[in-house]
Amino acid sequence: MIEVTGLQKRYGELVAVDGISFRAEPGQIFGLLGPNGAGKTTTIGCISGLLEPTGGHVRLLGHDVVTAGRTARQQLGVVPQELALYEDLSATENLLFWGGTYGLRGATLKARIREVLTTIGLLDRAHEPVKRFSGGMKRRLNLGCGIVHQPKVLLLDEPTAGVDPQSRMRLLDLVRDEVARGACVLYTTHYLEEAESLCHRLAIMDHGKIIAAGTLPELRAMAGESDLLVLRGRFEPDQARVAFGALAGVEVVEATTEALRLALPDASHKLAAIFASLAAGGAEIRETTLTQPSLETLFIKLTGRKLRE
Amino acid sequence: MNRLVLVARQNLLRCLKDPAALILWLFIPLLIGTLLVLAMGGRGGPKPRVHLLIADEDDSFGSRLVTGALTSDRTADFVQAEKVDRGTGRQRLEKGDASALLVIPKGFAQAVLREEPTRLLLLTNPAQRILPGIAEEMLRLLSEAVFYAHRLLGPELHQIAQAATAGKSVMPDAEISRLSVSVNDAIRGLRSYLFPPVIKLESVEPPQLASSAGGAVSFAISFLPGIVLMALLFAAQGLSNDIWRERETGVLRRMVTTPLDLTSIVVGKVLSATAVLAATSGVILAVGMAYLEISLARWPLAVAWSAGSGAVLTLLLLVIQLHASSHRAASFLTFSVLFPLLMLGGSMFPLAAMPRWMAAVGACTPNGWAASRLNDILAGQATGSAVATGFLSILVAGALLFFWSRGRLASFARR
Repeated sequence: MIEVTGLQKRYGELVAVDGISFRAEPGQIFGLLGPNGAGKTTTIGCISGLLEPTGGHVRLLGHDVVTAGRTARQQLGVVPQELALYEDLSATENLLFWGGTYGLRGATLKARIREVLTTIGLLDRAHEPVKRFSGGMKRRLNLGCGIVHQPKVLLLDEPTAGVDPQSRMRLLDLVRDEVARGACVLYTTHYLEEAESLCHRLAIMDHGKIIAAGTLPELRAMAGESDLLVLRGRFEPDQARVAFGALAGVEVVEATTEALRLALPDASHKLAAIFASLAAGGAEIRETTLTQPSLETLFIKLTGRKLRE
Repeated sequence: MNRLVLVARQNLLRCLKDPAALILWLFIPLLIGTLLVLAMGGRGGPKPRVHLLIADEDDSFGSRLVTGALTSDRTADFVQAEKVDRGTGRQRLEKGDASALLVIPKGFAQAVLREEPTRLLLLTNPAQRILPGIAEEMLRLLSEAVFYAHRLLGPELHQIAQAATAGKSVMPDAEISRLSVSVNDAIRGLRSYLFPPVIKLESVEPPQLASSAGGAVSFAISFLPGIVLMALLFAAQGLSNDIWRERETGVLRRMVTTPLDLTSIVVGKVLSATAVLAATSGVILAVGMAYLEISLARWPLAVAWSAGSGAVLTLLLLVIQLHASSHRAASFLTFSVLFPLLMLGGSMFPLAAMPRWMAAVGACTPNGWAASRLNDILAGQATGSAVATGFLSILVAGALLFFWSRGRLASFARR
């Protein structure tokens, strides 16, 4: 179990993580979603003991990562965003080392290595230097090194970044296997599809803060049944607010001289009325984007920008 | 303990996966050492001498003086003179059978006594560079000696020359005694300068090491500790630089998230480095000691000392690496320290061959200090207490550098 309470990490004036709190349960995947620079990796760093929090507490299976770091890390598996492998060594030699760091030895370790190599599909390449592996194979081994000791808590920091779709599917299956074994998984990504298909609970981060959290249905409910309509061009913000105020069910999320962001149910059927209303006010429309309700719309609704911007 | 072994084994395994680096750490110092030893005349054996052929066509008292000077006991160490006629001399020189041929022409002695221009002909062997140069220098000294003899004893020499030209086979006794008194007066005037000479010559020789056979061995032996330290420094640089490779590949960050503590990481690295350094120095010492006929009974202590000193040098370079802002800066910084240490610490030139002030500075460098003690161990002059004090010093320096590097590693890994 991961318990994060009021976690804060500052670098001088910069607040990378700003007092976030969440709890991830065993046998579940907790997703941390957010754009690059939102603070996800810093959060993972604080949980894994790599970074010392400026404030707040992190507990892994009840052990504080600062005051009882070694005990806390004993049951922790970390799969970093960048590949962290000895490329001049073989897959087996890598697994031997990383398993050994968690105290696995002898026949137990060897048996476990064989199991992991089978799971990640590298048994036939077990003795080849890692530098000869493809990107997808390295990613799988990177994950293998994080699960060789069967951790109770697993931190996965964008483990599928930059891999081909086939390898991604395989990696996601491996993560599901770990959850089925009872591991508590914290999974960071900026791929919404991954988060939607994988995570039991989600928190959306931006600028170091959690701006929304809950199960997928709860988050979808936050996004509402409304579609999101984004118009780009030349507008009079005040005039637009007045004009759309008269239209039933239209919520003006954002209005500037260059863009209008509207949340409204069944937007496709109301486009004609919206365009007419804008034309009457002298606005000029150059681009129109209509998005169905999703985590993406929730994120845009909450932050005003796309997840991958 | 298990974790120390794990980290040490992992580092050793990675070293073995890169045999090229290991070979280079051994090969470069051995190559440099071999070249230096050869340049200094090797282990011992016959010293190279100037083989000078002399064709004395004057065959006079004066020319015999020149020949005598070149064949005296004092010059026998570096000149092997042999009288020949001009034709034979040329033939042998063309065959490369000598360093040079000196031809003393007819009338040479008379010309010298009268201070008239004359010429000594020196033909040199083009296949040799240094030995013919020595012969040239000797003749230059001789011509200068003649010049100064004329400044001091000009009238007397002229008189002798005149007597010879006049065909006097025997000079009158009064004439001989007058000349003798005159020469004696001139020399007496110079006594304060010549006896003793105003220039004091001090010859400094490297400490002679005793060979296993009991005799003194050559100057080349003093290179061995420097060569070992050179190999240790190269290896220490490579081993300490590995921390940057681990950082750049992300494994160092990952290691910090495991139950491994920083002490295990640093000590494990130092243990593996010590094993590599023991192997490296062991090979060089075995080769060097066998070549120089030093008792191999001293090998274990010499290897232990080298490995211990090397471990401290690795920690020193590791501290420098950990303070650098980038991998490139780390390499630049360590090499900036490495090369002056090599130059000053006796790896390029033995401390004994350096000017006194430089040798004093060199002996204070970590590698110079270690090389001096290794020298004592190889010479069989290291006492038990000196060895114990040396190892204690290594331990203290190692502990200080260990705490420094461990303290720095945390922020280095997290950067």
